[in-house]
Amino acid sequence: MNAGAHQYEDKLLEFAYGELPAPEAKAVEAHLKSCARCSEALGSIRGVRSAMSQLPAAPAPEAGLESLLAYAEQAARRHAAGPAPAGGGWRKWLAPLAGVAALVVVGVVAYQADKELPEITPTKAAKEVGVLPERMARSEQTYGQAEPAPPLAAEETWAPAQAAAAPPVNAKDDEVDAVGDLRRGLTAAKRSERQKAYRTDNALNTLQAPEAKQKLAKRKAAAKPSFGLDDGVGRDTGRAPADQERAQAPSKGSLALGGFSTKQSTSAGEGFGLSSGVGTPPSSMPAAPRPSAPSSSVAETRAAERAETGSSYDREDQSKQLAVELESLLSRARKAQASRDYQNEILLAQEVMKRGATGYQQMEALRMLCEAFLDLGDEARATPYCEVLMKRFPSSGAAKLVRNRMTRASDKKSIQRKVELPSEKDQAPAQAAPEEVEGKGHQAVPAY
Amino acid sequence: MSGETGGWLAPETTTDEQLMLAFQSGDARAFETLVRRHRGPVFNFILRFAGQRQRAEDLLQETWLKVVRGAGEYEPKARFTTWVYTIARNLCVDSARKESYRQADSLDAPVGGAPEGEGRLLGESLPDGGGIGPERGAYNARVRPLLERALMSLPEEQREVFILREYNGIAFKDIAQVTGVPENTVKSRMRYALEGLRRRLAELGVEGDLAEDGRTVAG
Repeated sequence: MNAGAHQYEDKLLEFAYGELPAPEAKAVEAHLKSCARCSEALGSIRGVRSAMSQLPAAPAPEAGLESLLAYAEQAARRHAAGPAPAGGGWRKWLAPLAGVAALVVVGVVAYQADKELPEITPTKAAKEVGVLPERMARSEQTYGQAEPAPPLAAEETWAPAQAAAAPPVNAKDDEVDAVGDLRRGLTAAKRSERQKAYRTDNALNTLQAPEAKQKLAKRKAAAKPSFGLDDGVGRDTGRAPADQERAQAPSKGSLALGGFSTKQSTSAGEGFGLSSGVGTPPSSMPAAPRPSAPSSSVAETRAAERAETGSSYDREDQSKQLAVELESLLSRARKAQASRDYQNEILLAQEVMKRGATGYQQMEALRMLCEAFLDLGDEARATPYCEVLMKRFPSSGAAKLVRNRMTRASDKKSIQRKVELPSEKDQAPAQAAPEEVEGKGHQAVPAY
Repeated sequence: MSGETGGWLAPETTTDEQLMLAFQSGDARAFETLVRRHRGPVFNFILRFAGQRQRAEDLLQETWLKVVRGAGEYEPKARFTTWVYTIARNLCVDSARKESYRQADSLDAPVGGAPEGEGRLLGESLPDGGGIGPERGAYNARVRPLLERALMSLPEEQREVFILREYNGIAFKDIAQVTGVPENTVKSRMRYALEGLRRRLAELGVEGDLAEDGRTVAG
C-alpha cells in the first residue's frame, strides 16, 4: 500500500470493497494479473480486512429496548394525530367556503332575530343570568368526567386517568384512521364555521340600529360575566365557585412528593381545566339538570350555544398549547440532562409537573427528576419520584430503567458522579444535541 | 406493540425509508422493525467507536431516542442508515470529547479499577464465537484483545471510517455524508487506517496468522 503514482492503485481500495462499477472492476482485475505491485497492495488490504474480521459482533443489549418502543409508540400516536397531509384541490377550499356560507346564513338569521327580539326586562335578564351558569356548568361537565371526583392523591393530581384526560390526539386509539381523519376534518370545518359565524354576528351587531344595539348591549352585559367569551372563554370565569375553592385548597395528598399539590397543579394550569386538573368535575358540583327556563328567543339559544361551543374551542386550543409548551420544556430538560446540568433539568422537569403534565410527558418528567436526583447522589429526593414513576407506569421501560438504576444507586459510579460534578460543570462544555452542535468534529444530521 | 394504521408492511420486503415513512404516519410497528433491523449494527458501530460497553449502551439508547424525536423531520432523500449513523456518530464524537475532559487514559485503564461495565473494553464484552473448535476459540481469545487494541489505536477520524466501511458496510460516499467530509477524504482516511492497522498488527505479532483465510466482514 505504498503511495505511488500507479494508475490503478487508487482504485484498489474501492475494488477491495466491491464499490467499483463492473467495467472498471474487470479492468482492475485484468491489470492485477500482470502487476505485482498492485497485487501486493491488494493483498495487504485483504490481509488487514481478514485480520480485523476476527473481531466478532456483540449482541445489542436488551435493556432499554422496551422503553424505546414504548416511547416510539407514543410518538407514533402523536404523528398519527398530527396535521393530516394536505388534501388536493377542492378539499382545502372546503372549510373556508363552508365557513363563509355559514357566516352569511348565521348573519342573516341573527339580523332577523334581533329585529324581532322583545325588550329585555331586568327580571328577565336576571333569569337569563341565573340560567347561564348552569349551562356553563353543564358544558364543563361534558368535557370532564361524569362521575364525581374522589379525594385526590398527589399523583392523581398529576396524572388524570390517562384515557380520560389524555389530550384529544389519543382519542384516535379507538378509531379507524380513515374515519377518524374524516371526522376530524368535518369537526374542524364545523368549528371554523361556528367561530366565523360568531365573529360575524358580533360584527353585524355593531352595525345595527342604535336601539337594537342598546338591547344587545344590555343582553351581553348580563351574559358576559358568565361566559367570558371576549376574554378567554372557559377560564376561571366559567368555573363554579365550588370548583375554584377546591382548586385553591390543598388536597389531602398534596404534601407527598416534593410539594406538587393539587393547588399547584390546578392553578399553574390556569385555564386548562381539562388537562391540568383531574379531568373530573368537583364533587360539590351538582349534576346540572337541563334548564327548564323557557327560551325566550332564538338569540338567547344562540348565545348559550356560543358560550358552550366557544369554551370548547378554547379548551382544546389551550390543551394543545399546553402540550406544546410542555414538550418544549421537556426538550430543554433533555438538553440540560445531556449537558449534565442536573439543577436546570430538575427545575424544568418540575415545571412540567407543575403545569399538569399527563401521560407520556408526565412519565418523562418523573424519569428526569428521578434520574437527575440520582445523578446528584440525592437518593432521598429521587426516591419519591422514582416510586411514583414505577407505580404509575409500572410496565414502561422508563420504570424498569429506574428500577435497575435504583438498585445500582449505591455503587461507586453514583458516588463518583457526586464528587466530580462541580469540577465537571466548570470545565466541560455544555453538550447539546448532536444535530445542534456546531463544534469541531460534529457533523450536523442532514435535514432529510 | 401495536401500530396505529391498518396497513402492515412486511418487514422483509420493505425498505428502511418506507418503514420510516410508515412510522411518520403513525405506525409504531414500522419503527420496531427498523430497530430490530439496525439496532445490532448500530450498537456495534458505537461499541467499536467508543470502546466501552456501558457508554455504548447509553449512546445506543440516545441514538434511537433521537431517531424517534427527529422522525417528524425525516425525509427519504438519503438512506435511513446514513441518517441514523450520523446521529450515532455525532453522539460518539460528543461523548468522546466529554470523556477526554474527564480522563485521558480511560481506554487503557485497567479493567478492575472501574465500576462494572464502565471500564470494559469492547473485546472483553464480545462473545467467544460459538460453533468454532476449541483451538480456534483459544486463538480468538488470545488475538481478539490485540485486534481491539489495534483498532483503538487508530485516530478517531480513521477509526470511524474503517468501522463504518468494514463492519457496517456503509459505502464510501455515504460515509462522506455521515462524517461531513468529501468522499476523497474518506478514502484517504481509509487508506491511512488500513496502513496503520497493518503496522500495528505487525507490531503485535498477529499479521501473518490472520491473513490466512482471507475472510472479511462486510462488503
